[in-house]
Order: sequence, then C-alpha cells, then structure tokens
Amino acid sequence: MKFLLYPKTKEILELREELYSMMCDSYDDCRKSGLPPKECYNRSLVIMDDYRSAVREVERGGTIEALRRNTVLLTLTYFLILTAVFFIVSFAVLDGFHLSWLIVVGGAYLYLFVLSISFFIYGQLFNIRSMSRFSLFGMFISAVLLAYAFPSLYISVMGFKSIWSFSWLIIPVILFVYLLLDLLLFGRTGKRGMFWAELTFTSLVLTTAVYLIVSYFYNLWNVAWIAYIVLLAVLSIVFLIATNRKNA
Amino acid sequence: MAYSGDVLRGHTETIILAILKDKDSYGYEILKTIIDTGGGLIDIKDATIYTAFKRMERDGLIITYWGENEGARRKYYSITDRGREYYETKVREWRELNTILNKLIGGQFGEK
Repeated sequence: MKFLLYPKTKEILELREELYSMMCDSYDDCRKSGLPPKECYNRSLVIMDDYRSAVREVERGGTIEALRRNTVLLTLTYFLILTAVFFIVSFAVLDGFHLSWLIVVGGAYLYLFVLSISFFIYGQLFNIRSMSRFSLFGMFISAVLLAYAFPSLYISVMGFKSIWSFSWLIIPVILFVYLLLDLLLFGRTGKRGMFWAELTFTSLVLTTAVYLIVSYFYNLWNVAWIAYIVLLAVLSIVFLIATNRKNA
Repeated sequence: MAYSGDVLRGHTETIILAILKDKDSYGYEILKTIIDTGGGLIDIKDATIYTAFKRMERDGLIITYWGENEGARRKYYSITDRGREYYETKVREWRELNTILNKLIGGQFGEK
C-alpha cells in the first residue's frame, strides 16, 4: 500500500520487491527464533520504516522525469476534454460563445488547483519539502481563484445580484486554512521561534476572517474587535502552558 | 546503548564489501551480519543499506542478480574487481587512520 501512489518506474518496482523480500526474510528469521506470528509480523514491518529516503535515493532522476511525463499527460488530457466540453456546450446547449468562455476560465482555475495537488503529492511522496511547500501555496492561490473569483464572476455575468462586495470575505478564510496546513505540515520541522511566529500569524488571520465576516453580516463593527482581545488571551494561555510543559 | 547508523557513515560501503568479498549475499543477510557482528550495539536502517547498495551498484563496486534460496526469490549482491580494489584501499586508509586516532584519542601526543 505504501507504494500505491508512486510512479511504476523500474527503480521503484525493484525497491518494493527488495524491501518486501527483506520483510519476508525478517519474518522467517523471527519465527525460527520461536516468537509468535503477530510479534514477528510487527517486527518485519520495521523494514518499511524509512522507505521514503530509500525511494528518494533510487529515484532522484526518475522522479523529475516521471513528474514531467505525468504533467504533460495531465495537461494534454485535461485541455482536450475542456475544449471538447467548451465546443459541445457552445453549439449544443448555449447556441453561441457569449457565456461558454466561463467554462474555459473555470476550467483553467480548476486545472491550476489539480496541478498544484499533483505537485504536492509528488513532493510528499519523494520527501521534496520545497516542492510540497510551493505547491501548497499554488493550491492556496488557485483556491482563491476557484472559490472567490470564479463564483463572483459567474454570478455577475449571469445577471444575478453582484456578490463582489462581500465575496472577498472568503479570502481570509482560505488564507487561514492554507497557513494552518503549512504550519501543521512544515512548521514543526522549523525553528521553535518560527513555529510560534507562524502560529500567531495564522491565528491572526483566522481572527481577522471571523471579525470581517461577523461584522459585515451582522453589522457589528464596533463590537467584533473584541475577537482580537480573545485571540491575545488564548495565545498567551497556550504559550504559558507550552513553556511550563517544556520547563517541567 | 545502541549506536545509530550515523557511526557507520562513510564506512557502510566498506563493511558491505567486507561481507561480500568471501561470498555473494542478499539484503537481509548482509543487514543481519552487520547487526549481529555489532553485538546489538549497531542500529542500522534497512533503507540505509538499500541506498548504499544502489550507490555501490552505480559506482560499479557490486553487481546484482536475482536468485532463489529455500523457495524465496531474492536479489543477490556480488563484489566486482573494482569493488575489491576499493575495499583494499579503504582497509589501508582505515588502518592508517585507526593508528592516528588511537594516538590522538589515547593521548599519545608527539609519538611517531
């Protein structure tokens, strides 16, 4: 299962077979020593503990090549399908191109999102931290386009009530989710001071999102700022608890 | 106290070649030989061994072939002539370094 998402290159398949063979040997060896099957099974699983560094070592060149191949394949397939959908909808459904350009715009935004996810998965699989982090940022940008720009544009073009005046409120929410993910996935490996700076910044973004949304929809601009005081208090408590635990 | 694979860093290839110079062997057997010879003090990861195999194969120090033993299909490693030369050089270097380190760590300064 660990190798399910990896590209089926010669090197990866060989590595999988080799590690599997070592696991079997480890299991047999353990059984010969008289230990119960479950214990031996758990011990043999240890072989796979550090498989990612092995994958990275054997796949250095192949990874980039496989990524390039998959990206070209994904791009070609995606845009061929998108073009087909564009023409079919234009001719068969809308009888013209006056609205069907929205398919291309939405499709392009979706493509950016899918591409970022694909790069992120590769970065995670092959332990390439910079690629994972950069593609997470790409996911954030394309999520803003998908969740804010496209719906607002679509509603405007379709002649419904414009939502541009408040749809931007989703941006701080997406920014918060992005920062939180970045912090959870990459923050803990960084310096301690950096972790706290990122945590503070992330919670500040969340508070701002809450402040703006609550104030806008309930017209509470004069009261909602209290959210920042609450944030300060919560952060101080969390910091104190963490410091006490560290000193204990 | 068990030492991590870090203490073997820079020597992993030489150790593997030392095991392979007498007979061909497979991954788990090599790993087990290292761990057993280490008297339980060496904790080396399987991935470390595997990456060393790949490096050595790339550098022409070993070659591989698939074989069967007791019904199990395994990848066997075999030392090449280049691997033997490399091993001899590394053993010589190790002996020289060992003599120097013995003096330095043992506090025998100024002795020739």
